[in-house]
Amino acid sequence: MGRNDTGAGARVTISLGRDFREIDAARVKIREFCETVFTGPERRSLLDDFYLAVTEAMNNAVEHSGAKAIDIVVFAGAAEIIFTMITPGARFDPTEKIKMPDLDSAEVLPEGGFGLAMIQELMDSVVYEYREGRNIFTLKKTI
Amino acid sequence: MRFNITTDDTIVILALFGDLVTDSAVELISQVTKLAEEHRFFVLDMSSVGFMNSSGLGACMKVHTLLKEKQGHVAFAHLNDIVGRVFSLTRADKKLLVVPTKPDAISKLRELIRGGDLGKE
Repeated sequence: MGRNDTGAGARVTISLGRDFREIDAARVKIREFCETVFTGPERRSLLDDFYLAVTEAMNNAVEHSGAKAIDIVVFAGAAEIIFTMITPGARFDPTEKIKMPDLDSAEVLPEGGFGLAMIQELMDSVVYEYREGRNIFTLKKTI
Repeated sequence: MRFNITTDDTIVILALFGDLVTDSAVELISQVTKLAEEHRFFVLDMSSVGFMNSSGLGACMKVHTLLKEKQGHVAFAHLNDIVGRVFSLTRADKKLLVVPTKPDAISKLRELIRGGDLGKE
């Protein structure tokens, strides 16, 4: 599953299939990578937010994109971390439905619809592009 | 996901072991549905849940709704930082009964069984 370097400016690449169990392995790999680059307890909560957001992004892609293969690059800069997820195929814009379900007005508590809104809340930047038949979803977090 | 089931009088204490994500969320709902045939009050001990995503949160919502339909209740205890973050970010901690510890959960549920108002849906 890809390669990884260490230190600022490092990156790790991951390929996912359409299997939710692969997301768990990818999350562990991303966590291990981040922990080699960003050390110190003061960054832990920021990194937890990052793990949560990218897990939601991968989950959404596996569940809804229809892509058979999902390519991921995580880049660690000096003070930011960038997650880029590429899915080939038809246009699939995950930012179209970003809104946190309103639990206060719900008669029955919703069981879904939280993932994309969580990404929006947790990350500093959420960008979707469609280029040359590929969906490119980029998440940035200042660390 | 692995479960450990114990009871304290009429309260089921369901301890969860593992990450609460897509597959295990389905397992949790299935486990509670089965236990809810004979029980209405549950503590979900999440001290051994290392990670939870929105699917896991959805399962918690489902468990709450399922037990509410049976005039029961569920309390969630021992949330770690990342699980607690999911609850707070979505405001689920304002709608579900989230308490620090298992004894707190048992105490709150006993209060409810005696007819007290917990101030939660």
